[in-house]
Amino acid sequence: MDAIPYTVHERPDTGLFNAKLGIWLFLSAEVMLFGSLFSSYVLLRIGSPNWPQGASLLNIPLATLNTVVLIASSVTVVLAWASLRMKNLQRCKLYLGLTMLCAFIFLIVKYFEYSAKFAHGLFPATNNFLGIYFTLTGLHALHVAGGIVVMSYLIGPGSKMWRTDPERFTNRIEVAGLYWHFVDLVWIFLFPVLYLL
Amino acid sequence: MFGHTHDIHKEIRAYLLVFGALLLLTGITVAINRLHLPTHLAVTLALMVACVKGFLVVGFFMHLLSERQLIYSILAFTVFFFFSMMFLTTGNHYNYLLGTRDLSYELMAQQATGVPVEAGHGH
Repeated sequence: MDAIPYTVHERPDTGLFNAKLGIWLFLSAEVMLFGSLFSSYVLLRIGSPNWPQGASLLNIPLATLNTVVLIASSVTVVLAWASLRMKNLQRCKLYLGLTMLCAFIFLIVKYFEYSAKFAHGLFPATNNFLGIYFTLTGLHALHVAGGIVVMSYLIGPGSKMWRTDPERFTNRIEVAGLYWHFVDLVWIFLFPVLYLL
Repeated sequence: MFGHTHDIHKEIRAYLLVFGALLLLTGITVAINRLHLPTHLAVTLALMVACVKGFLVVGFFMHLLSERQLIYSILAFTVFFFFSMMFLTTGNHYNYLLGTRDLSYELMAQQATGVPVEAGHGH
């Protein structure tokens, strides 16, 4: 008997394999984590007589580029899962590699954005807008970095599981993909809220 | 899990269509910013577009449109507590008891303009 049951087949009572239930519970907690910061943003904004326009302080073209990059990475990660369902590991690795490339591009762009802010003397302590901007985008960037670690493992040593237990490995890719889509989803709301409004 | 190749190709076409829709909606979001609309209208429109984008990601990429009942139940709790939190924080801002309202912003404005602010003058 496996140490962790129902890693491949669905549990009769939940109708889900365990990792899928686990990732949705985790994502629910993540919604509350980012939700608390979003509510902080709202409270700071409505309580401030002079809230700056994001566009006046932040770089919209770079943020738009990052939005496109993250959306593209969501497509590549779901294509990686589809490739495995067609039993094509090499193509799956290719799509996961493209997803990681998108993630690195996102972080590099973010590095240039942060550098430009610091060079102009704009720090988290400068005002409430920048405080919540750096907190939200910094936490989001940490999630992107976490996704890179997970995908590195799945492309590298983790992919050995494909030979011994292909269905379980396919489930792992699906679960990693769900996490990655959530990271994309958070950015979809961060982009207009911080940069455009 | 492992599926028929024909079905998976159909799914892939759907993913690519959603990708195109997301790019289009991103363009619309940026265009809303360029129109210089009144803040409340711009916020409403931009959040509506973001919600549509979020629905596409969650519904198609995360396959929530065809998920199990248990996941819907979990997410129903999450949505309830998320909106409760948003309501409690923003509601608190607009619902100070008379005499307990934080006057820090009014005091700052008074210092800047020299015009006294009437106590009890609500938001």
